[in-house]
Formats: sequence, structure tokens, C-alpha cells
Amino acid sequence: MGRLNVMKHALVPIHRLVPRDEEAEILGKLKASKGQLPKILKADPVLKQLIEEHGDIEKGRLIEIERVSMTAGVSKAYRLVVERE
Amino acid sequence: MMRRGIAKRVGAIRFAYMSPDEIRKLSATKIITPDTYDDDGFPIEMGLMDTHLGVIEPGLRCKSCGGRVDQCSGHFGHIELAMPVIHVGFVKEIKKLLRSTCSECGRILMSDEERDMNIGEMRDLEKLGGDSLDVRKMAKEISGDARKSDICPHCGAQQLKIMLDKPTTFREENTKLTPKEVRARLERIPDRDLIPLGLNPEFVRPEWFVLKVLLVPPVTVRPSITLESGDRSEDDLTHKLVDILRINHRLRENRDVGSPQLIVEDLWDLLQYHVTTYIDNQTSGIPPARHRSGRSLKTLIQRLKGKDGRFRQNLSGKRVNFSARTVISPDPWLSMNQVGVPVRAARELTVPMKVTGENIELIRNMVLRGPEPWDRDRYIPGVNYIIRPDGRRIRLTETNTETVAEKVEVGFTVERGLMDGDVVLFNRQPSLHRMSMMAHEVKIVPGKTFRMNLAVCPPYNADFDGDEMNIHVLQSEEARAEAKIMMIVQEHILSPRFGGPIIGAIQDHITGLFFLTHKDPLFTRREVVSIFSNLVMEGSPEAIEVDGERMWRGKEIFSHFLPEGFNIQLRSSICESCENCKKRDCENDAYVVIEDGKLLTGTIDERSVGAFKGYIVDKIARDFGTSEARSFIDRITTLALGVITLKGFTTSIQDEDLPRMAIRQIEDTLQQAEDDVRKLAESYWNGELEQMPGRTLQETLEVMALQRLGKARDSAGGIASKHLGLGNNAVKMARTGARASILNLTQMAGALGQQAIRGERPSRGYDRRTLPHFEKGELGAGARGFVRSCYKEGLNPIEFFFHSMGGREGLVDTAVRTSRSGYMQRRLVNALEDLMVYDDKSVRNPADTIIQFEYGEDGIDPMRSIKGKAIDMDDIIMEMNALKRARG
Ligand SMILES: [Mg+2]
Ligand SMILES: [Zn+2]
Ligand SMILES: [Zn+2]
Ligand SMILES: [Zn+2]
Repeated sequence: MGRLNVMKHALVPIHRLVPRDEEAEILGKLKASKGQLPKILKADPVLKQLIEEHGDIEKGRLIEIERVSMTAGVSKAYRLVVERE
Repeated sequence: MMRRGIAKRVGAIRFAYMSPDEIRKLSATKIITPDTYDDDGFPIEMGLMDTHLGVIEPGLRCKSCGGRVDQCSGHFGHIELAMPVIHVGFVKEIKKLLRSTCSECGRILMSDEERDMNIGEMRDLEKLGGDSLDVRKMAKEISGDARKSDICPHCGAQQLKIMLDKPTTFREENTKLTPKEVRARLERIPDRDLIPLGLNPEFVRPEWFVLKVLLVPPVTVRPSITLESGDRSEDDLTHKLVDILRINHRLRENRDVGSPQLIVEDLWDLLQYHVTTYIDNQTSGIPPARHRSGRSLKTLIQRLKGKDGRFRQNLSGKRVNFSARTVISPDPWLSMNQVGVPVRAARELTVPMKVTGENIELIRNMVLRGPEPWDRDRYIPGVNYIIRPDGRRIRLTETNTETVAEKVEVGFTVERGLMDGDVVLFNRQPSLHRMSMMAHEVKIVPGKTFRMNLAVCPPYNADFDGDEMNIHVLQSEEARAEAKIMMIVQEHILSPRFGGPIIGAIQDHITGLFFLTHKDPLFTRREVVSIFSNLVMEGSPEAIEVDGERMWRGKEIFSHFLPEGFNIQLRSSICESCENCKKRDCENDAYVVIEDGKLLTGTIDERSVGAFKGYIVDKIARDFGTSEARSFIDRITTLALGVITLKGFTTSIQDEDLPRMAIRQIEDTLQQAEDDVRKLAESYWNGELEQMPGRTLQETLEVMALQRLGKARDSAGGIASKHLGLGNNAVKMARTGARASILNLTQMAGALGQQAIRGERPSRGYDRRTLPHFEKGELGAGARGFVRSCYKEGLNPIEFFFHSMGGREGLVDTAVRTSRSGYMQRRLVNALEDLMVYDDKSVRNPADTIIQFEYGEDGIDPMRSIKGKAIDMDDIIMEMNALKRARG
């Protein structure tokens, strides 16, 4: 029996692992250091799925989330991978 | 962009209970005598006012630390109780412990394995982030389990039922347990057995809940006050402690000389009473201790609890200077940027003025005029205080003006009364949005009320049925500048809540403008003069020649107040939304067209200028700025009042009079509906009613009945309004949006309609019927809350009853809603109050972490948006067309 892929669920927005070489540009655009970003737990179901696809994602990596927005159509958010809260 | 991080963070707070030993160690002295002061007025050693506990009189020194009144914050003392007493605050805990442990051996009433398993589960809960509330809940469940066995698994002793006679007496079956016995039992509970019961033996032992030693608060906590007569008056806590000491003394004596058990027990109970009321004087089940005057004493719990307690009164609540509060009343002559402040308040409230080389002469003159100068009956600001550079304040009186005026030097500060043009903050509670507190310019007025322009009623949600409001006088230049630039009323015409105007014309303003513009009436010279008499006019509107007389068109008069180059098109409130809108050629004059500041067609009403809806106000504020918008609202509201004053306007119940024919029509319609519902009910009983998909048969009946009756009321309303028409004043108000609605008129002239309880027809009350006037199982219209009478004719008693049911629900709902939404708002505000939008549009908190990457995800300020959108394409096209036309 195949496990449920949460990322395919209609209510889960698109998550993308940001490649290391894009990180600097994104952080520059956001005018923020990694510590100032919202966090995502490594134990998050979406992250587990991403790890299945990309291999291990160590803490400190960025995840880009593309959400459907009521006001803006589509909006992008970023989260920092952390082990625990 | 990195700002300071958080330097220190509170990891945890633990509240624990003090052991008798800790109390003794903390104590500066043991208290034994109930007397406070000796004959010379000095504190008695080992009395309640012992100077070891700190000092409250200047001149004396604390015997514990040597400090004076302002240096020593006081020290605790203690009383050794002759016999132990129960602490009221812990009776529940004690009951739980007694019931879940063995009365003989003190072990928890479960096997060691069970206990250890519970301890493990509790540790897991803590590890998983359960807070103290979760732990307490778990402990309660465990003790509930333990209580179930009535034989001790450790020693086999039979467990008797332990009862609590409120508030503090424990009973085992029928024998009373003295506090001493209770204490002995609690002492027997081993440390490890406490853990599953929710106590941490590292910090607390249950026997401490039975008091042997009482902590006495420092005198600084319960200072005595000297009355004017020279008598001393003691604090309530001191009174209570005196009682405790007296009884304690008598109890010890009687016990030591071996008095009869009965006497000792009575005294013991009395001591328990005093200690209980010392802690909580509102313990249920015992009479509160009272003062000689009959006032009940304010003891420890009463100091903290409730609205007047330390938390809500002193810690969360603060009182503020330079503020005033009084009833508000309307004043159409004021600008909406102004507030009328009565002389009494203006004299008391002050603004500090720094004395400089430039203004010293002016200020000396002000000081010379004294605290309450008048120019005949014209108000002139006075001076109340002069503050020297060293901070000393001199009060200015009528008699010392000259001496004080001489002393005034550069560097002094002078506190003068309010005067016209000062900036103050005006506020009405509940302050739910930022428009609840706006800056106004002061205008000194006679009378005793604050006065305000009617256009600012909507943002404050104010009316004049006794509402009170506050003003706050700004004390620094920075504050004044900030208020004037950001908080002045005109800056809040557009609401950040929905990107439309929240300030605008209301009620009579709208009716007045309707009279001015609907079907473009003509006004004579006399009339126009009368209308304009309260306006400051720049130029005058063009007249036209009618039958050799100069006349003014209403639309022309209105256009005079529109900014040049203003274009807009919209449908009025009175528009009947015809299927085929004829726009400019609308026969109801319901399509507003304004080109280059000229009102060409249409009636000005709520949708043009009303608060919340006014498109014209909205567009002027956006395209011409807030000053233009303020002046527009100020002027058209005054204009409207001029018109309505000229025309006269009234409404009465006769406005709901209907011709006999219409009344008969309405009656027929309602009768028809009632008959239909009766037939529906019959078919329901016969089983002929066709069930709707997804509904039970009964639900189907209800839905259909509601539908049918709703339709009946609407058509009754339709008949009524057809016969009333726009010539009727009540209809005028409803249609223009000035006041009331067509539904209100329907209910007055037609029928009240179905009364609903939780959205359904009333069904409860008696067995299968709502009232004993109906048959059991009756499902017709009248039996289930349909009111076919109207307000004007009056309701019959049965209808009145149903109407009251509906009315009650409305009241309860609003009461529940306000408290609930108030708390929701509070939590939301607390969570969001220190977030900020930065210039890159990101939303961040004080620790500089990102909360939202772009404000609102689209980065649009709702206050500057057009109904939430960044641009209004239709408006731009309309403007371009207007421009094209203007250029030919
Ligand atoms: Mg009111
Ligand atoms: Zn001291
Ligand atoms: Zn036992
Ligand atoms: Zn129309």
C-alpha cells in the first residue's frame, strides 16, 4: 500500500527545497538572516516527503512555499528547516 | 537590519507553598500580644506594629534593617498558633489527598506498580509539553482512580468515606476530624506517593496546608492611618490579626489549664473562623467578619480579587492626568475636526508652555491675568501653575499674580488652560478601532458637555442618549505634531477596515440633500439665502430665469460645493435596480452623473455622501486629499441642514396609514398564506407531503412553511410600500438610507411576520404545542409563532408572547456576542500590537523576525485601496473619457 503523499493534497501548498546557491539571493531580497525566518520542523510531514524525494535535508536549509492568496493571487513564503522548536 | 535580540527570557515561574520552618526563618519577630501601641503611641514589642516589621511613621527606624520609612520596605513576622487550623485556600487539595490515601498508613490507595506507572505517565506528559493545567487534570484523574478502592492495598485497612462540611470541617462518616488529625494523616503520606497526586515533594509537603504558623505581613502592607481627631485607625488586616491573636491566646490558656474539651473545641473553631476570614472573607458557608460600621472587612483574597482588586484596579488599570470626561452633545456649527470643550474643563486642563526669550512678555501677561480671566463674557485661557527649572510648582491664585509674574524667567514652564486651536485626543469606549481615538482642535464652548460634529458619530459609534467621552490634552510638541499629522479626524475619513469612508453624512443630512437634489427643485432668492445662512460662502451658484424671476436649481446649489474637475457616476440608494438601467435618463432621477464638478443628473443620498457608503466622499478624499474631503463634508452637511430646516421634516405613525383597500389586500395575502400552511400541515399528517432530498419529513414541512410565510410578509410589505410611495416621509428616509428600512415599514404597516428561535419556528413550551391555546400537534402558522398583526395595529396576547421570545433571543445573543467578540479582539490585539510593517513591506516583530513576507501578501494598504484593490479600472476609464470630452 502506497503511503499518502501529503504534498499532493489539495490543501497543502507547493513546497520547494531551495538549492543552496539560491539562498544568498533570496535572503538578500528579504533583507533578513536565516534566524529571522519562520521555521519548519524537520518532523513536518511535508518535510518528510521532501526528504524522501531529495535525500536528507539538514537543518538550516530553506523551503519555499507558494500559496494561493486571497489578495495577491499567489504569494511566496520561506521557512527555515529546524530540528526542534 | 539586525536589531537587538532578546537579552533575557523568563524560563518558568513556579508557585510553591511555604513550610512552617521557612516562615519562622523569614520572620523578623514572633508576634504574641494583640495590642498594637502603648499609651504613648509607640509600637509595642512583639505586637502587630512591632518596629521589627518595618516602620510607617517618619522619624522612626526599622529595628530589623535600620532603614527609615522610605528605605525599609518592611519585614514579615509570624504567629505560633496554639492549635493547627486548616488553610481555606487548600481545602479542595486536602480533601483530594485524604480521600486518595489510606487513613491508617498514609499510602496512596493503589499498588506500587500502579503508582509508578502513573508517575511515568505524568513524566511523559510533562516531557510532551503538557503544562501545569494538564498535570493537574491528570492528578485529578489519578486521585479519582485511587478513591475507588475502599480497602488499603498496603495495610488492608478499611477506608471510610471522608466528607467536607463547607468550608473547613472534615468528617469521616460521622466523626469529625480535627485539623490536628488531618495534619497527622497528611504527614503520613510518603513523598513518592505525592507525585501522582500532583504535588512535587521537593517543594511542598501536604501537612503545610494545615497551619501551625501564620505569616504576618509587614506593617507597610497594612499601615494604620491617623484620623484628623488624632485617633488611630487600623487596617482591616491588622484588625483580623488582632482577633486571631486574642483567640489564640485564650485557646492556649484554656488548653494548658485543662479546660473542658467542649470549651477548647469552641475556641479552636473560633480560631479556625478567624484564620479563614483573614485569608478570604467571602468564604461561602460562614458569615463574613464585619467592621463595627457593618462594612465587611477587606482581607487577603479581597485585596487581590475582582474589579477592585490589586490586579484589575492597580496593575492592569492606570489613571491618567490631563484628561476630562463628560456627556457629549451634537453641534452642527463645529467642523468635524473640532471638539467643543466646556469652560469648566478648559480651566482645569493645561498645556505646558516653555518660557523663552521670544515669549516671555506674552507669558508674563498671561500670568498677570490670573487663573480665570474673562474678557466680558469671552473666555481667555488662564494660568494654573508656574514650574521653576528645579521642578518646584507654584500655584497661581487671584492674589499672587503680580509677585509670580515678576518671578517668571526664561527656562520656566507655565501651565496654561486650554484655548481654541489646541490639539486634544477625543475618545469613546469601547476603543475597538483606531478611529475610536482621534485628534480634534479645541473650541471653547459654554455649557457642561463636550460638543462634536455629527459626521464623526459613526467612527466613535456615538449617539447623544447620555453617551460620555474622554479628552486627553497632549503635553509635548512631538505629541501635538504627531497627533495633528496622523490622528486628526480628516485623516480617518477613509477607514483602514474596508477602504471606504467611515465619516460622512447621516440621517437629516441625507434627507436634506435628497430635498435639495431630487428631481432638481427650484429655490427662490429668499430660500437660498436661508439655506446658506450658516455657511461661509465663496462665490455663489448660478441663477436661472423662470417666469421673469431669478431662481436657483437644487443640483446647481449642490454642485457649488463640489471640487472643480470632479467626475463620478453611480446609482443612488433610491435606485430601484430596474432590469434595464436607463442611466442618465432614469425616470426616478436615481443615476448620479457628475462631470467637472457639476451634478448633471441623479439624487444625492446615502450612496453618494453617507458614512460607510458615500462614493463621492470616498473619491474626493482619494483624488483631492483629506482637507478637501473634510471641507466638503463640513459644507454639505451644513447645507443639508439648511435645506431641511427650510423644508421642515417630520414622521409619525400616520406615515404608516394605508388605504382600506390595501389593508384588505394585505389581509387576504396573509390569510392565503395561513391557509396554505394549514394545508401543508394537513398533508404532513396525511403523509402526502413530498419529502425534500436530504431532509426529514418534518424538516421539509418547516422549510416550506417558513418559505411560504416569509413570502407572505414580503408581499404584505410590497403592498404597503406600493401604497406609501416616495411622497411619504418614512419611505423617503428608508429609501434614501437616512434612517430605518423598508423592513421596518413593512413591520409597522403590514405584518410582523414569522418570529424565529434559533432560526426555526418556535416549537417548545408545552407537550407538543407552544402554548395551551393550541391543540397538541398543531403546526399551523399562528401556532408556531407567525405574527400577522403589524406594530401599528398592535399584537394580540399570543402574538405578543412569540414576539417576546424572539426579542429575548436577540438580547441574549447581543450580550453573548459582545463579551465573546470583545475577548477575541483583546487576544488578537495582544498578539499583534507590536508588529510593524517595514518599508520593504515585510511585517516583523520587535525581535526582527519576519511574520509576513509582504503585508497582507499583496502589500496593499487597505486604507488607500479601492474596496481592497490597488486600482479601480472603471474609474480610470471614466476619468479618461471625461478628459477626452473636456478637450473636445
Ligand atoms: Mg448611546
Ligand atoms: Zn526594615
Ligand atoms: Zn494502609
Ligand atoms: Zn435606475
